[in-house]
Amino acid sequence: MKRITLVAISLALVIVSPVVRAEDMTSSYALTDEQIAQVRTRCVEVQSTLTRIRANDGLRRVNLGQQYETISTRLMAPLNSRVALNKLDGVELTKTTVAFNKQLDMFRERYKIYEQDISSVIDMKCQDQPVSFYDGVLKARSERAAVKESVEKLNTLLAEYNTKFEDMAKIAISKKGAQ
Amino acid sequence: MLISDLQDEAKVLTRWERHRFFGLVAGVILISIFMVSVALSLYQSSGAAQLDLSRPGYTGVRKEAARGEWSVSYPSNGPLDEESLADFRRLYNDRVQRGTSTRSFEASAMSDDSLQMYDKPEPATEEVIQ
Repeated sequence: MKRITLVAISLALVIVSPVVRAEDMTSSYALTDEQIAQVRTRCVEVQSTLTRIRANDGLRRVNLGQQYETISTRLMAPLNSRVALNKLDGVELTKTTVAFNKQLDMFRERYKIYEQDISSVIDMKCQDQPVSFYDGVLKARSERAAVKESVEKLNTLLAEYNTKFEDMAKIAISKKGAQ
Repeated sequence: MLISDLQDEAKVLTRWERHRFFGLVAGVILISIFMVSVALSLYQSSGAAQLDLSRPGYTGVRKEAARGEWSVSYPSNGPLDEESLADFRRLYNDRVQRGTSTRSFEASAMSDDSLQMYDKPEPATEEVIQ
């Protein structure tokens, strides 16, 4: 009985215990000893700046996500089916919608990775691991740039859909006029 | 039933049977730890964690999150005349405007200059020899 209890407790501790890694003194960008010392001194202040950036980015993610979801599911999809029901050519509109939804999935995934990266940097004991901290900031920065790239692509696709919509609208009105 | 009867009964019980209440409590605790671990990993992996502004650190921005944004919709059937196309144009442009009006994820917020993690080395100045 005691053995079973001990095994169960050990298993539970393994499941809930945090992972500890040794400090790596190599960085993708070679910092001088002086710069490492400066990172060690200033990192707590940097972490509080990163916390503010994370909060603002979280808000942007929620608001942008809502707008994109609304556009995709409540505007693009119904218009595409309405175009099909009216026997108009909606292939280009549908193609753009598919590309938009794919990019929206990518935006969600990239943001998730960025958020996990920045959170690990914020939670890090940076004074003990200044080089890992700096590398973490570089990685989070790169993931944030990927999120921005996704936002720009989504905005481009929105403009593209608008252009295709105007083309379709012209055809729809001319067909109505001809009838 | 007397205490002596209970003691006699306890003598014939196996070790497991005598500690079954303790086993039950330990089992319940282990199952609950497992279930909570599964729930938390799903919360993290599904992306729900990233949308949860009730987490610590997000209290300042929580109020600014847009509400009631799902009320907009465009009917999926009906004729495509000038009026219905104008309706779509208005709804679509309004949403696009909301999504693109503010600049998001600008690189400058996380630049070296903004974070100031360390002093940049001074650019070498060349002495002018006259």
